[in-house]
Amino acid sequence: MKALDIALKDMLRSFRSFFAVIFMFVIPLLVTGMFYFMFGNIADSGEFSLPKTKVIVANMDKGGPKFNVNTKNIPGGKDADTMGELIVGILESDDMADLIVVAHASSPAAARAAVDNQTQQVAIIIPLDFSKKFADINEDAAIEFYQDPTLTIGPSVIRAILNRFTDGMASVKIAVNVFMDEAQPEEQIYVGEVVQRYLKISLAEEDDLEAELLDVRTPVKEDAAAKSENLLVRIVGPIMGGMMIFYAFYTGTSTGQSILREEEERTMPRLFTTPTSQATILSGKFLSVFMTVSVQVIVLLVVAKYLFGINWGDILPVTISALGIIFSASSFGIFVNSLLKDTRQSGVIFGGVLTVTGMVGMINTFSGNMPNSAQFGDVSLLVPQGWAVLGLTQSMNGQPIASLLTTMSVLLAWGVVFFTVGVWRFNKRYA
Amino acid sequence: MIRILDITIKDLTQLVRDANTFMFLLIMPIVFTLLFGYASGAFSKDQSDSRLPIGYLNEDNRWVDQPLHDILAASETIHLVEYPIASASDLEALVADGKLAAAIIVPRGYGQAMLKNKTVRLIVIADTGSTAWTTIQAETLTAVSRLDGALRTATITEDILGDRAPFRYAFDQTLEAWQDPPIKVVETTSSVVPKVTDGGMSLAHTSPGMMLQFAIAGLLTAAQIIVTERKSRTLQRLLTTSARRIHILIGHYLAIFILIFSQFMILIAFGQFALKVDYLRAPSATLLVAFSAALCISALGLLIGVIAKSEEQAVTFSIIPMFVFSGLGGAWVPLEVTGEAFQIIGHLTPVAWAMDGFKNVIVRGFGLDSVLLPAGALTVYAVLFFALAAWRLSAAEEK
Amino acid sequence: MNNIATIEVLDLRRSFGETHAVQGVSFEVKQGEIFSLLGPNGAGKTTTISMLSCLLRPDEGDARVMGHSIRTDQMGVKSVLGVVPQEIALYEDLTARENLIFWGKMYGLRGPALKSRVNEVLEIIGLSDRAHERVGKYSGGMKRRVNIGVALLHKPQVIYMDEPTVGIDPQSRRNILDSVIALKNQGMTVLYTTHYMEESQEISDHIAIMDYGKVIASGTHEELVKLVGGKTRIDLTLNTNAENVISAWQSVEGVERVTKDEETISVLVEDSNIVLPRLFESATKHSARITSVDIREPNLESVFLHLTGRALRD
Repeated sequence: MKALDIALKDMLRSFRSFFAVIFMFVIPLLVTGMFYFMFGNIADSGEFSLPKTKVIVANMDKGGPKFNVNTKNIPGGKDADTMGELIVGILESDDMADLIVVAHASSPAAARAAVDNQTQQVAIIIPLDFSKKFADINEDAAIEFYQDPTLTIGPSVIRAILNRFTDGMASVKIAVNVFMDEAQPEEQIYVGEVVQRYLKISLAEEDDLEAELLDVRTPVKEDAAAKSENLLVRIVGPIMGGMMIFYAFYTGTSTGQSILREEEERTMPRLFTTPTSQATILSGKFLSVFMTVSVQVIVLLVVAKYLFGINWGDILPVTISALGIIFSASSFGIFVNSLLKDTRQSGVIFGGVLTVTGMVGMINTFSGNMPNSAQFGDVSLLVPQGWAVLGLTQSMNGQPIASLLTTMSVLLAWGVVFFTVGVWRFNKRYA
Repeated sequence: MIRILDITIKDLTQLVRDANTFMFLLIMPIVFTLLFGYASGAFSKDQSDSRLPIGYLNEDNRWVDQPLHDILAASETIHLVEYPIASASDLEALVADGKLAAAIIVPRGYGQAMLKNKTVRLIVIADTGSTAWTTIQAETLTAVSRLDGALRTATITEDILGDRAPFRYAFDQTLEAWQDPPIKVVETTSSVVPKVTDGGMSLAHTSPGMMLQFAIAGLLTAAQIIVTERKSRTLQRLLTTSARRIHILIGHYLAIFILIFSQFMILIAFGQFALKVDYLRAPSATLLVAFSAALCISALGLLIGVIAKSEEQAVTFSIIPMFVFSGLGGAWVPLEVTGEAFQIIGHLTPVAWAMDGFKNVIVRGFGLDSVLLPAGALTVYAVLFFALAAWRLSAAEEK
Repeated sequence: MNNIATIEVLDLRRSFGETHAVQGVSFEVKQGEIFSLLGPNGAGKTTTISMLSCLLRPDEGDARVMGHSIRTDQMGVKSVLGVVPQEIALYEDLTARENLIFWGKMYGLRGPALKSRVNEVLEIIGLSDRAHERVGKYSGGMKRRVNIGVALLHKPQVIYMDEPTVGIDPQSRRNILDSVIALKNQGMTVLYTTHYMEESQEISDHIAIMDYGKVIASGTHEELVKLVGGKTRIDLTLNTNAENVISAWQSVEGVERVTKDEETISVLVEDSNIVLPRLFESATKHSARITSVDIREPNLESVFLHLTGRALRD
């Protein structure tokens, strides 16, 4: 009973601290909210859509022999006098309006400068002899694609579009070249027919190339019911989980610090003068750590569910996962504080150990949404936070309970070791 | 002036004597940069690992499918992963688990249908909502289009020229021509990071990002000096001497600045020589960014020290800006992937400006001119934070 | 007050490395009396109290509090004991009432009994109308009152007070001294440590003087004063370097002892009325002029000086 009194007293002090409350609840929700806002452009569409890429075009093309590319699907095809104008027409078409914003430059240098000074993200430079070279079977034509090197996604989309167009044109020219390589001089009159027949039967005529060529299927997972259909939530969910775990470990350590603080406030020695055993006193302190972290985790789980619509999973896996987080975070806090001499050392611990281990544990959370992200492997599993994140992710993904129990066993082992060492050290300290 | 230096030396002595603190200010960012770099494959010898892994299964096995495989295998952005005994459902499971970015399955009869110009589709299993889908879609369509183009060309050529251009010959000639297409897009960039090393690009973002983030985190130790001074009443005692308030402020500020700037220098050296991030390609530009960032962060540290009433508050007031500024400023996730509004908001934080400055040098390959604006913005922040600290100190002591 | 020994201290010893903080301290505290441990800083008073509170284990020796041994029955000791530590050992972010409730629970009180007792103690310490305020906002004196109040919650039979008046204003000190006397009047036994001679003198039934870890004298005020033979101390200052005068004064009839502490020369005499003119005469003979005279009737300061050769406040 006295242990509970001590625990409740400590909890009362914790929750009265404005800063403790900020750390426990506000910061995790704030940071997650920041990411929610960061990726908010997919909230309505449900798809990942980038901000429009700013493209500047320097079309220097003077024209050449007219290529009858009467493809009905290329906007402005009938109005373009040069290949350069054709390309510009495509870029400025309604189909591209959601992806790019097109500006024009008077020279290649001006276009590159616009990218260099970051007013534009990509410069497309069409040389003045592009049409001429395009029409000459012995010449190669090239378009320069100059991009901001710090960007990846937007430019890669534009490059893909441009490549599709140039591939289409190149395929015609290749067909002509292959024909011309084997044709006799008198058979060169058939070049036009080659082009016409090629364009007629090739895929360049297709309205929707993807639908024509690819049968795209979404992978189906077992127990996928737990997974949110909303892409934004699928991005934000792991972040909120990671933040919750990150700050649960902070809370465990800062609450555990109350033992050191009471030594400095001299209330701990006073406690020892009362008819309350050392075991009871320390039990009460440890209990307060567990109870405070429990409150934090439960509140964050519930609030995040309703604020961000995060589906943590079924009740059993969520409970198991939450218990694992609570136990490991609390034990870690007790262990860390048992190593400290006084609260003055806490700055280093908070700023150093907790931040580094927390961020290592959350590595997968931040890497998962970056394009071309490599497999981050098991780096996060070097720290207990990583296992806690893994367990929560398994719960959110609706994975079998056996997988979750395996993960939680490892987390429990971490917690037991921390708790055992922490208790032993504190007992020794007050012996 | 001498009093300012006396206070600075006193603060630095206190900081340096706490060996743990000092080591954490350096070890923390180095460790985390290494970890993040390692996890992103920056140190991997196998450059192909950075490409998207795409599972490949050919259920058709006709000769006409092989060029499709070859075109995909030659891609610079995807690499094929083939499992000898995996089935389509196995590949689907791997995609669902995130072990593969996508899976391409050549269905039975695909080659035959292509030869006969009949409608047939390649099966692609992928999450079309992911950011990698655009790349996968583009590469796959390119491969199929080229295959289709080769088939059409061979058909037409054989039809017109007969035995002089047999189908298979024309088909192979067409595919060979794609190795050096007559119309192409040539990518150029101002980047100083070699294109092949995506890991290098990753480190070029991570290195300055982590450096800035942990510089802010390190403020909690610097700020605590000031907090302890106030709690122990030595600050009040200082104010009873002939040392003026502004001297005291500048003295503390200078100590924090020296600490942060030294941290930057050491981490830049580490980045340059250990991580091969080319900070020193424009030394004056890098120095200017580091200097102005240190000015700004130090002023923030001074403000935290003046505002915080306890060591716990100093920790809180340091950790919160570390997270918020780093997140908003693009130290973790490049601002490129966020909405335009967020990108504007991000540039309300000093971290975004510092990232711009560093990346202008180490990624874009620019020089001193390119960092003048970021350095200016950082200096404005420094002045603002310092002014707030000075005002707050006056207000607190007059209570 | 009766003759039953409430606290029996038997040859307690405690060292910290090479420092022998308590070296064979023995004394008895009778039921219902105020017993002072008087001594300068570093004399071993707090270490002694810490051992008697079961916070420190003695290296040697034992003590019994209401028959409970500090070595073998610590819970028994703690249950009859109330401790007022030298520091303000309270939770500053809790209110006075919340502090008292919590500490009451630690002393085994519960429910309505606890509530009622908390109200009583708040009345005793005079903070009933401010009980809802956080202790952090109290003045130093108020905090000390709550500090004492905590020790009274479980109506202990014995209470230790470790320098409770250090660093507080005279009015608060007066209040505390009055409350100590009130406790005694209620039948409580008080073990009180201090380095203020006046306090000991005023409130104690029995005094033990400690120095360098030992009890160097023990008894009532009158008994202790008699150790210096009821002698009076005269403190004088001269207008010149006084070495030759000190030598001369030591030979003056009626002078017991002469010591010098910086500018002040202390002369222990039988009867100041008789000796003082002789001192003046002697000074004149040696071309010195007495610039100030302070006559101090025999007190504990004199006793300490007599026993140790040092002033109590050194």
